Amino acid sequence: MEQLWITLPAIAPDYSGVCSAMFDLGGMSIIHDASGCTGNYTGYDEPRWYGTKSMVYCSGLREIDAVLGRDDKLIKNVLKTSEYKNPTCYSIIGSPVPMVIGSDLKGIAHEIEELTGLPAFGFSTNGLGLYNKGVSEAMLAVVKRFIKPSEEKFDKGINVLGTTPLDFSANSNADDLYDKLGSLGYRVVGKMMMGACISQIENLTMAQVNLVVTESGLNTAKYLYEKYGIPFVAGMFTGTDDEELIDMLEMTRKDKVNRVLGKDESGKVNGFGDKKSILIVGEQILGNSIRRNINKRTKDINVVVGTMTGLRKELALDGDMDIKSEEMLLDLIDSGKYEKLVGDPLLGDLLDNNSMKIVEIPHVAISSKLYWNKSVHFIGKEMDDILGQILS
Amino acid sequence: MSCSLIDNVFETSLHYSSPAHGSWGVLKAAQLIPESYFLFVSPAACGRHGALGARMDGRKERVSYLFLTEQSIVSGDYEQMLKDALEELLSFLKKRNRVPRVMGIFVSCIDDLLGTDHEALMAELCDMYPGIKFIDCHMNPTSTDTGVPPVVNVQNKLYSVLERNDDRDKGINIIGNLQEISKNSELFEVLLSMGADEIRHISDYKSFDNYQDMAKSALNVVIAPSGEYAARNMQKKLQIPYEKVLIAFRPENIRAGYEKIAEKLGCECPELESYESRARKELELTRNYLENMPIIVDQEAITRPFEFARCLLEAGLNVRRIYSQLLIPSDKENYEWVMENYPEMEIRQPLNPKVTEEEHVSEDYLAVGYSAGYISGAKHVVDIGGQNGLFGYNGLIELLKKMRETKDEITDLKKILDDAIIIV
Repeated sequence: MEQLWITLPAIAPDYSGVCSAMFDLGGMSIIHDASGCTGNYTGYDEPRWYGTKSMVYCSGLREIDAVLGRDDKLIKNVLKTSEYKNPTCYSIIGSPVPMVIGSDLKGIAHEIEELTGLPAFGFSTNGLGLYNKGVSEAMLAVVKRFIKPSEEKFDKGINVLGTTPLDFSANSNADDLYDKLGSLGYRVVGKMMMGACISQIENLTMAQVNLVVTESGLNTAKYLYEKYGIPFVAGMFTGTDDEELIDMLEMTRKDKVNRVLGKDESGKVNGFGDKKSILIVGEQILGNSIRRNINKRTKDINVVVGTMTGLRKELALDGDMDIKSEEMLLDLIDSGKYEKLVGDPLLGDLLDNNSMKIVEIPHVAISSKLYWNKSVHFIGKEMDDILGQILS
Repeated sequence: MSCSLIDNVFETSLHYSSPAHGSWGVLKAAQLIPESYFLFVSPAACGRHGALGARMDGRKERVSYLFLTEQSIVSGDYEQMLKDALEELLSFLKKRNRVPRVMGIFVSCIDDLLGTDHEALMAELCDMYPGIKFIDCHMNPTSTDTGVPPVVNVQNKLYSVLERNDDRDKGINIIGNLQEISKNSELFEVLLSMGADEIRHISDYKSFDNYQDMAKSALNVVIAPSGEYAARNMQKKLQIPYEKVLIAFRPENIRAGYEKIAEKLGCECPELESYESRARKELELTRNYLENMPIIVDQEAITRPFEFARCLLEAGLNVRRIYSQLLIPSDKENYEWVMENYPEMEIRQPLNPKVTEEEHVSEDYLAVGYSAGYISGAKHVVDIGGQNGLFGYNGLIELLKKMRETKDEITDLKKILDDAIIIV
C-alpha cells in the first residue's frame, strides 16, 4: 500500500523546504500551525538552527481560531513582532490545518504587505508535499519578485541554483562548491539558496550560465532561461573528477544550450544482463552526478538512479525510478537485481535479511539529525572514497 | 530589551521555537503502554519528528505511518484506507511475531476539524481484530488551550486500557510523570511505611498482562498536573480514588504532600524529619557552594518553576530569572510570593520572539534546563529535561547535587541538544 510507511520516517515536508529556502534572506517566516510543524522544521529539518538569528516563527494556531478563521490574530502578532524586528520580507507558510480550513495564505501575505510596506509571500504548503517542492516554490517566488533585469553581464558570471541543507547538509558542501567555481574563474552571482541575499537575487541576470545542483533549482533555471535567456547545466561536482562538468559549463556559457550531466551519454540505463547493478536513491541531480562519475570509471556497472521526491523526466535516463513509496523501494530491494544500494543510512532499515549492501550517503531530508553531523563532502577525496566503496 | 510580564499578564505572540524547546512528545508517552504499537493516520509531515525521535531512541519498530492524501482529507473519509493499512501492517507484524496487544491510532490536528467518530471506529476495529485493543490517540497541539491538551489526553490514554479489577490490593500508583521516579527517592520508603505493599508506575511493566496490576491499586497519587484528568477517569472507571500531590521542592511542601497521602490512606504520616533535615542541609551546602552564582529556572525542566525558585530564594540562593511561558494555576501562589518579595525578578516567556533580542547573560550564570541555558547563553546548564524522575526530598537533593556539579564545568549545550530527543 503506497501510503503506508511501516519502517521509514516521512521525508522532510514542503513547509520545511520553504523555510529552508528563505532562511538566509533576512526575512520573517511564519509557519501557520500550532507548534509541531514548526518543531519539525527547527528541530529536524534545519541543521543551521542552533545559534541562528534567522526569524522563523510559529503562528501558534489554535482550534478556536481555525474554526472562526481568525487570520487577524496572526496578522496582529506579525505586526507586534515587527515592532522590534527588521525583516527584509515576510513569508506566511501553510500547514495541514490551514489547508483544511481553506486559509488564504497569499491573501494574508498581501494584507501584511499592505500594512508594513514590505514584500510578503504566501505559500500554500500543507505538509503533504515534499521539501523539494517547497524550496522550488520559494526560490521561484523570490526570483520573480526581486530580480532586476540588466543587460550587463559578468564575464564567467554564474548562478548556483538549488543549494539547500536538506540535500547539501550544513557542512561546507555549499561553500566548497562556491569556492570551487571561484577557483575556476567563475564569479558566483547568486547563491540560491544557501548564502543568498536579496541583492544577489536582484543581479541574477548578470550571470552567463546557471548551475543547477538539485532538482529544486530546475524550475527557477527554466524560468531564467525562458525569460532571460540564461542557459543552465544540471549537475554537481562529485569527488575530485571535475573535468566534464567544467567543460559543460564552458560549452553552455558559449552556445547557450542547456545540458544535464550524464543525460546525453546513453539516454537510458543499460539492460541488466549479467552486469553488476547499483541503485542510487536520493536527490536526482546528485544521483545523476554520482552515476556519471561511476560510469566514467567503469562501463561494467549498471547504475539506476531513483528518487523518492518525484522523478523529473528531463533529468532522468530511461529506466530511472520514480520511487513513490516505501513499498516500491522495498520491491526494488527484494527484486534481486541490485547488489548495492547507495543512499541514506535509514534506507538500510529496509534491507532486513537481504544480502544487498548499502553505501551510506546521509541525506538530511530523510535521516535529519541522526546523521547530519556525518554528512559527506561532495567535492574532494571523501566522495572519491565513497565512489570506491560503490565500485568495490 | 525587556520581555518581562506586562501588567502581570503573559503576552500572546508568535512562537519562537528554540533548539532546546520540546519534550518527550505524545508518541513516546503513548509507547509506555506495554506491548503497544501505533499507527499515525495524518499528513506525512505530522509524523516526521516523532518517527525520527523514535528511531533515535530504539522505538521505531513500534510505530508506522499512514500518509493521508489530499483526496482523503477533503472527503474526510479515511476509514477504508485505515482498514486496508491495518490489514497490511498486522500481516507484516504477524510475520515477525510482533502482533501488539494494543494498537493506538494516532490522528493529528486536522482530524479535530474532520469530525471522525473515533469511538465507533475503534469499536469496529476491536471487533475486526479480537485480541487487540484499539485506542484513538491525538497529537493535536491546536487543542493546547483547551481542557484536554495533548499532554493530558495522552496520559488518559495510557490508563484507558486498564480494565476494572475488584480484587484490590494495597498498591499505590504514581500518575502524571512519564519518567519513573528515581529509585533513590524516599517516596518508596515513606509509602511502604504507610501500609502500601507496592508502588506502581507504568514504566515498571514490560507485559500488558502485568500492567493490569495497576488496576488493582488502592490509590492513585498524581504528581504532575497533566495526570489529573487521567486520574479522574480512573476513579470513574476503575474506582481508584486519587490524591494530587504535585512535585514540589520546598521542604514544607514536600511534607504537606506526604501528609495528604497519609490522610487519604487514613494512617499516620511517618517521621519525615530526618529526610527534611538532610534536604535543608543540602540547600545550605548548595548556597555556600554556588557562592551567589546567579541562577535561571526553566519551566520546561521544572513544571512549577516559581515553586522551585521560591525554594531556592528562601534558602538564600540567587535566582535572577525564570523562563515560564504560562503561569499554571498550581504555581500562582508561588508566583505571587516571588513577585512580592523579589520584584526585580526577570520573567521571560521562552516562546516569545522577544527573547531572541535579549543579549546573553554576561556573568557566570547557572541555568536549570535546556531552554533557559540556550536562550540566556548561560555557561553552566544543568542537564535536565522535563521528564526527570525527581520527587520529594531526594528529588531536591539530586537536583541540588547536579547544580553544584554544573557549577564546575562549562556545558557543551550543543552536544547535549544534538543527542537529545526533543519533540515539539
